[in-house]
Amino acid sequence: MESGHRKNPSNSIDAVQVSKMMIQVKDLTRSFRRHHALKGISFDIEKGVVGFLGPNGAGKSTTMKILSGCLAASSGSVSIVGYDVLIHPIRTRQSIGYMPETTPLDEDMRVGDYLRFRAGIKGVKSPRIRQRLDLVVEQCELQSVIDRRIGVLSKGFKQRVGLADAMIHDPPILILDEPTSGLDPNQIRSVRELIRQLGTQHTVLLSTHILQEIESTCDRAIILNQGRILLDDTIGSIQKKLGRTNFIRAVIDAPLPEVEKALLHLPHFLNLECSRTSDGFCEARISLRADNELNSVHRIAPQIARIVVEHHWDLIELQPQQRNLEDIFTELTHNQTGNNEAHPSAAKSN
Amino acid sequence: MNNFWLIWKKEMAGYLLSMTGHVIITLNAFLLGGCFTLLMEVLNLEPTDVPITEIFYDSFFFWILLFLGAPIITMKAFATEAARGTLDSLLATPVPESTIVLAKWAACLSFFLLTWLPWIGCMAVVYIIPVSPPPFHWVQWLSTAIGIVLIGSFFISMGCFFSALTQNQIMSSMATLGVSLLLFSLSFADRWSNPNQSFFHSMMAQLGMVRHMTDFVRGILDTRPIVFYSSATAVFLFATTQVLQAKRWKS
Ligand SMILES: Nc1ncnc2c1ncn2[C@@H]1O[C@H](COP(=O)(O)OP(=O)(O)OP(=O)(O)O)[C@@H](O)[C@H]1O
Ligand SMILES: [Mg+2]
Repeated sequence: MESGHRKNPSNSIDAVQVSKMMIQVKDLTRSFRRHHALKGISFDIEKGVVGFLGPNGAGKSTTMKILSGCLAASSGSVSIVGYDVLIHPIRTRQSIGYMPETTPLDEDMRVGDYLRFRAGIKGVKSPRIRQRLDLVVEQCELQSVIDRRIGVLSKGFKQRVGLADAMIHDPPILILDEPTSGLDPNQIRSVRELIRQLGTQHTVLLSTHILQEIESTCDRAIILNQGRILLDDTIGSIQKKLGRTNFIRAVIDAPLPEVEKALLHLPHFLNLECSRTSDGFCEARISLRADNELNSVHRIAPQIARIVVEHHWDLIELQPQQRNLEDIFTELTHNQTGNNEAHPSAAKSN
Repeated sequence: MNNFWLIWKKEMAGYLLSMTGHVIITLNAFLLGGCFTLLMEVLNLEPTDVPITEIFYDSFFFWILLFLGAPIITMKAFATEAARGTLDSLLATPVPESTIVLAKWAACLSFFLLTWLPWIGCMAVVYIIPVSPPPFHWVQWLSTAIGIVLIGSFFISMGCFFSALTQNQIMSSMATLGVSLLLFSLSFADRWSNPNQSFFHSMMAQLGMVRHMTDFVRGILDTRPIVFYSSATAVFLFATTQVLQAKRWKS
C-alpha cells in the first residue's frame, strides 16, 4: 500500500524503463578520420514504428549500422533489449533484423536457398525454418521468384529479398534503411502496410527521405541533420503543433512590389514570401502563427480578399494551407545548415 | 557448430558452382597432368629406387600447384564479399567472427584439397600400367598427403588473412602469392647465409619449405615442420578474426 503512494520512486522507474526499452542510445558519436558523422545523439525507443528522417549525409545509415553491430561507435553507448552491443554482441545481433541501404545479397544463390541459409545462421531451428520461410515469402510477395537467382532479379525484388532476410528470424527489433526506395507505388503501399502491421508487435526503426511515409507509417519521428538530432517527437504531437501554424497562399493578378507592400499591412503574420508564378501572376505565401483566434486563417483570409478588392486587382486563388512535415523539415534543416557553427547546442529543439 | 557447417556448405557450393571454381579445377588438373607426364617419362627410362612420390614432387609443376591454389581460392573468401557488401550482412548475424573465419578457411581448404584429388588417380595409374612398377610404400603416400595438407592449410590461412585485409581481389591474391614465394625462397637462403653464423644458418635451414616437403615425400614425418605449419596456420586464423573485428572500427 505504502509503496504505491511513495513520492519519489525515480530509482524504480529507471529500473523498469531500462528493461522495457528496446533501443537505448546515449551520447553516440562516430568519426571517420577527421569527419564527424555523428556528434552525440541520444534517444530511447520502446515500441512501435520510429522514422529516421534527414537530408543526405545526416548520419541515418551510420546510426543504423552502429545499432545493428556492423560498425562500432567512437564513443557513447548503445543497448539493445537491455544489453550493451559491445559486451553482448551475439545476443544483441540476435534481436535485430537489419536491412542495409544497399541490400547486399549473394547474387549466385537462389532466393529460397538464400533465405534458408540466412535463417539457419541467424539461429532459427531447422523445423521452424520452413514455416518462417513460407511466412516471409508471403509477406514480402516473393512467391514468383523463389527459385530464381538473386543476381537476375530487378532492384525492387532484391529490396524485398533484403526485407525478407531482415524478418526471417522473427527478431523483436527491425532496422530498415530506406525500405521503400526502388519499389513501385503498389509495392510501396504494401510494404508500408506490412511495416505498420509489424509495428504492432515489433519495434521498427526505419529511415526514409519521403516525409509522407513518416506521416503514414510511423508513430514517432526523429529528424537528424549533420549528426545531430533536431527534433524527436511523436507524429501526433508534431501534427498538433503543425495544426497551429498555418499558411495562406494567394495568387493575385497584380505587380509584385505593390502586392508585397499592401500585404505587409496585414496584422500578426509571421512571414511573407512573394514570387512570380509561371503564368505571370503574383503568388504570396503568408505564414501565420495561429496562437489565438485573432490571427487564425478565418480572420486573415477575408482581409486579404478585401485588400485585393480595394486595389482593384484580380484574385485568382486564395487557399488556406496547413503546414506539413515537409515544411518543418525544410525549416529545421535549413536553419541548421545556416547556423551550424553558431549554435552547436541547438540539437534538441523541444 | 551448426553455423560452421551452414557457412562451410554455402562456401563450398559457391566454389563448385562458380566459374572461378571450375577454372581452378581445370588448371590444377592440367598441372597435375604435366607432373604425371614427366613422371611417366622418368619411369620409362629405367627402373628406379627413388620413391614415386619424390619423382612426382621433383617436377616444378608441383610447387606451382601449391602456390597458385591458395591466392585464387582465398581472394573470394573475404575480399570479394567485402567489395560486394555481403560481408557486412554476414557480420551483422549472431555468428561469432571466429566461426565465420574457421568455416571459410575450412571451405577453402576443402576445395583446395578437392583440386588435388587427381593426384591419387595419377599415383594409382603408376602402379598399374608399367611392367616393373616402382616400390610401394603407403607411408610415403600418407606423409606426402600430410605435407600437402599442412602447407596448403598454411597458405590458405595466410590467404584468408590478406583477403580480410583488403576489398581488392588482386591485392589479396598478390600479397598471398608474394609472401608464399618469399617463404619458399628462404629454402635457398642457407646457401647464401654464412655457415659460421651457426644460429642464423640453422634457422634458415629449418625454415626451408623445400626441405620440409622433401622429407614428407620420402616418408619422413618430422614433428618440427608439423608443429610449424599448424601453429602458423593458427596464428593467421587468429589474426584474420582480429581483422574482421577491427573492420567495425575502421571502415
Ligand atoms: N565508411 C565511411 N568513411 C568515411 N565517411 C563516411 C563513411 N560512412 C559514412 N561516412 C560519412 O558520414 C556521414 C553520414 O553518412 P550516412 O551514410 O550515415 O548518411 P545518411 O543519413 O544515411 O545519408 P543518405 O540519406 O544519403 O543515405 C556522411 O557525411 C558520410 O560521408
Ligand atoms: Mg543512408
